Amino acid sequence: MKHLHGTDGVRRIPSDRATRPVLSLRPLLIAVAAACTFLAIPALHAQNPRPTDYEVKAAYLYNFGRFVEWPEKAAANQGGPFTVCVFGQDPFGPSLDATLAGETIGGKTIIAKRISSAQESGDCQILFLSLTEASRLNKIIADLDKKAVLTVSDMPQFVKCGGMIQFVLEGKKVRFEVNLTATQHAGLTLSSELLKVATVVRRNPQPGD
Amino acid sequence: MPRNQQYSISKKITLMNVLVSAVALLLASGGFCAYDLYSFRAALISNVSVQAQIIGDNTVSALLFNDPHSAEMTLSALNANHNLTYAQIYTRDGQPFAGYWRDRAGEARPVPIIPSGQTQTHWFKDGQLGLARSIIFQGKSSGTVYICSDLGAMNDRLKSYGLIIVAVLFISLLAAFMVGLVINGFMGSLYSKLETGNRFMELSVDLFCVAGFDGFFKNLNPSFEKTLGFTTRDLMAKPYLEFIHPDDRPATVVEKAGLQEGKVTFAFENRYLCKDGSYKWLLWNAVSVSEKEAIYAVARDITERKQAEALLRESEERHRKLFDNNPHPTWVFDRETLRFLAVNAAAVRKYGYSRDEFLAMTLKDIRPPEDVPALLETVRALGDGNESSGAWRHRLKDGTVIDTENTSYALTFLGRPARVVVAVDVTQRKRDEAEKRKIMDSLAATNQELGLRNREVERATQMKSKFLASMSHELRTPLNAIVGFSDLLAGGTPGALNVKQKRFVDHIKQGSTHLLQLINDILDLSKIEAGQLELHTELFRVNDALPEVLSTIHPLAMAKNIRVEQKVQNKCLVKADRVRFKQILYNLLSNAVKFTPNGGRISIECVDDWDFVRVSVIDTGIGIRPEDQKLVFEEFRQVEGNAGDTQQGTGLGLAITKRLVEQQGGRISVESEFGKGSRFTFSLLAVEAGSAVPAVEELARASVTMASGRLTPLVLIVDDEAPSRELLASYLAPQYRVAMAESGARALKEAQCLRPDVITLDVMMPGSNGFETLAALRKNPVTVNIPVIILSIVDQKQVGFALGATDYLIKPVLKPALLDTIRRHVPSPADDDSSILLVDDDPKALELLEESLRSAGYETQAVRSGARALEVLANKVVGAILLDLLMPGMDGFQVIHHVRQEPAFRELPILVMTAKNLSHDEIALLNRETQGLMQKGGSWKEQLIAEVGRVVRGRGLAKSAGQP
Repeated sequence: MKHLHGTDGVRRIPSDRATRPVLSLRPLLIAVAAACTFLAIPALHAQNPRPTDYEVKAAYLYNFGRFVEWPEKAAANQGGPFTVCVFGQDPFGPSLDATLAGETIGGKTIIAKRISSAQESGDCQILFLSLTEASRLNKIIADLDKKAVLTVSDMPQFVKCGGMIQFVLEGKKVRFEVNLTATQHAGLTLSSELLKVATVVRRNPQPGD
Repeated sequence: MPRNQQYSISKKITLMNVLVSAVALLLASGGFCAYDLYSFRAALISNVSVQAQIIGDNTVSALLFNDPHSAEMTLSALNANHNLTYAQIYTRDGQPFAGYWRDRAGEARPVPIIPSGQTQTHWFKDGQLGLARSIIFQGKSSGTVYICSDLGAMNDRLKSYGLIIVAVLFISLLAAFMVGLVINGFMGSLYSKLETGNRFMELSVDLFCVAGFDGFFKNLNPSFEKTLGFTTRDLMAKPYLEFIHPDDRPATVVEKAGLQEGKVTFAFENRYLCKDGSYKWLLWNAVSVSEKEAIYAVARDITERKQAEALLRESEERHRKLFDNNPHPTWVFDRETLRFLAVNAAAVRKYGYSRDEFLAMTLKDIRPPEDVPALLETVRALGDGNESSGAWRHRLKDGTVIDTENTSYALTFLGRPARVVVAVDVTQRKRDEAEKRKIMDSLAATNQELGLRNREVERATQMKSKFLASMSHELRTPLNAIVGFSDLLAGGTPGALNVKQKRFVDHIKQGSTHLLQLINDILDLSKIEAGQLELHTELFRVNDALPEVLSTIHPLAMAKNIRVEQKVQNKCLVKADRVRFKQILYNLLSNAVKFTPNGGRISIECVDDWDFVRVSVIDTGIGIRPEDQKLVFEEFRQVEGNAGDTQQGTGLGLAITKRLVEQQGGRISVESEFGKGSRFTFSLLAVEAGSAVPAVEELARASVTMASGRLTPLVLIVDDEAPSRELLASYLAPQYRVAMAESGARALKEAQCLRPDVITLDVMMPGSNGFETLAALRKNPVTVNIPVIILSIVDQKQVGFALGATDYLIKPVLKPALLDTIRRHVPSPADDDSSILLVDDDPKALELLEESLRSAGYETQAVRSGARALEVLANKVVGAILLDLLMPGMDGFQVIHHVRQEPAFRELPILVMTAKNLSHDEIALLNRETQGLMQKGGSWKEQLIAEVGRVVRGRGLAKSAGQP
């Protein structure tokens, strides 16, 4: 489980990065979330409270990156940082940045990028689709076809719709399902380790499975 | 090899074997074990580590994605390894994530701490291996795996090993033991073989060696060292040729070459150098083994043999020489054929036959024909007997017959039984012997004669001694009577004599005195010449011996108004016969008196001269002419004295004196000037001052100091006028002895010297008068107590008594008055009322004694035998005994013996008067047992009175002093 502590054990205060407002409500929500997170951090440290779902998911995103192999000619293997994109409304907030800060995947530094269109996903290795993009899911999936991008979302039916990894909640635990066909189609190799911990591993999932 | 030694060696070997095996085994096992266990452990760790790693790798995703179930699934795979008891996955926080329990599920243990910098850590605890490993995924730690494995496998392994080791050990022990037994047997035979060989080598007296072809010894047995003295090391250090005698080297080299070619050396001799520089002969046998390039040799020390051989040769040579050079004819003849087998040069020379002639002859040919039978007989009798000797006659070539003495003994010569004979020509010897016998016989005859003569001489000597002895007695006894009685007659004791009678008696007296003197002198002289004069040597001071002599001389000197002085050093101590000394002195003094005219002076000197004391008598006499001085000491020599000398000497005095002096080791000499005087000096052995002067001396001294005890009191008459002195003297004698002094000074001197019992002192004298003298006398401690009777014309009684006079008489003094006075102050002999017992077989002697003593105021009783004397003693108290020695029946000695037996008579004074020549022992006895010893004859009368007085008075004083 990824901790809020960095690899060197030094507590990092998540940097205060400005988030791009998309909806008027959203910024407020984010702000509140951020504020809550800000305020929560000391409280978290004092009691060591359990991380939030999205914190866990953020950690998972990172960890996914560690168990996935991108094809050689993909952008992932070229120069430049490892990019984790968030499409749609960012549910993570700074926690994502905080989680990714200082970490590396395959020797590359990781950055979090928030995008709002498929076109911007050119250099994304991992793309998290926010719940808000549920209506445009098919299109996005179509756009990303044959692109070496690991799609992750917590939309229900994500994997059935062609998404690669879908977050599910088992009780209080965050688990995930994996669409192997999709990953194979994208040219991504998933470690069996990852598959081991997935709750479901689908091959050729059909809509409605 | 003794069994136990052998046994112990094999036991040792076995033990060694076992020990070594065991040690090796244990070491090997231990080593392998340890290594095995070590690597097992490492393997185990590695194993577990790998498992942890695998587990870790396989649970990363479970950790990352929080799927404990997945992790548990992975962990369950550990079940395949039965040794793993527990495993646990921890999160990065150290929280237990998933666990595995082999046996039953338990609690999760706390996360082990992995030291920073390490990925993994392990430990062994409680029989378990615990291993913790960080789960690293892509360089990041995601958690910790902890696996516990038990060590069951290892323990099992250990157990197996233990069993194996024990088993192997046991087997090897057994094996070693078996081997030991085998070795034991093997050793036994091997060792004894070795030992035999070794011992053989070591103990052999012979020299064993191995030498190489290179000329060096390779191996030597101890005999080399023992024989040659060089150590084995020395011998092996140099080529052996160097030890060989130079003369033998060439031969040795040849032998060696032969050996190398394969020849054998047998009985080869050479000399080897010894450490002490000598050489020893060695006899060699050797063989070589060319493959080994070695020579095996044995040598024997034949030095002694060689020496023996040499000695034998020498001996033979010697014997040959001896035989041939024997100065006596020597030959060897065959016992059976009697033929000569060998002759020596002497035989050839003596007998005249040549050697060849001899060898053709037999013994018979050198015997006179008539002796041949005897010869044959002897030879037969001798047979095999060994040594024999005999006297024979031999005939020389020229026919001369000689006597020989043959010594022969048997031997084997050239294999034949033979005899060797040495024939000594004794012809001459026989003749010499005959000669000798004759001489011996004549000697024996001579000896016999001598013996006879000796016996005669002895008899003569014996007779001479007897003569002297009897002479002594026989001559003196009658003389004694003559002298004594004529004395008494002269003294008027039986009655007054008319002038003529007196004169006649005087003649008799003179004649008899002279005769007595002569006899005494002759006897003395013959005694001295016969060597029979016995001397009784003692130590005494000259001073002490003088008074007696002086007192005898005094009257004589006084008669001629000769002054006698003495200058005797008190330390004149001599070792001599006291009596003889007095005799010498008396002789010299009487001569001095004789030859000094009236008014002369005689002095006696005595000086200490180292070893000798020299006594001199100096007179102012007529002197002796030089030519006469030599003669004075000869017998019967007299020098003319003054005309009108009434006393003729015997001519023997000085001769005797000389002999007496010389017999005591002294010398006598005379210095004289004719007309002036003479000085006779004699020396006697001195004694160091401080030598013990015998107590007898002291006694004598004591009796001297008891002057006042002397009963014939001495009266010192002091008067400057001689007639007065004479008169007084005539009154006082014979009851009192008299000394004179003509002056006060003289009186003092005399008084100190003589210590008279009383002094009569004249007052009117020139020089110091009587009173002064008296005062002086009283002042002097020596003379202070002597009674002084003043005789003076003048009556000055008060003065006299005031000055200490004992009495005062007015001159002229009458005899009775004087005697009375003196008697009052000095008890006279007559006061003592003891009687004297006279014992003598000679009635004349008795009469003599009686008269003499009675006139001196003593009571006497005369008996004629010793037995009678004892009877009288039994009944009567006597004051003293006068005893003759030579009496028939009981002699004087027996009387003394009996008297002394009685306790009452122990102290009874006995005076012996004898004419006997006394031996030393007799004198000693008498000295012991009696109080006085007087010789009959001589001036015995005064001496007698004095002696009697001394002993009786002494006893009286002793009595008054309270002694018995």
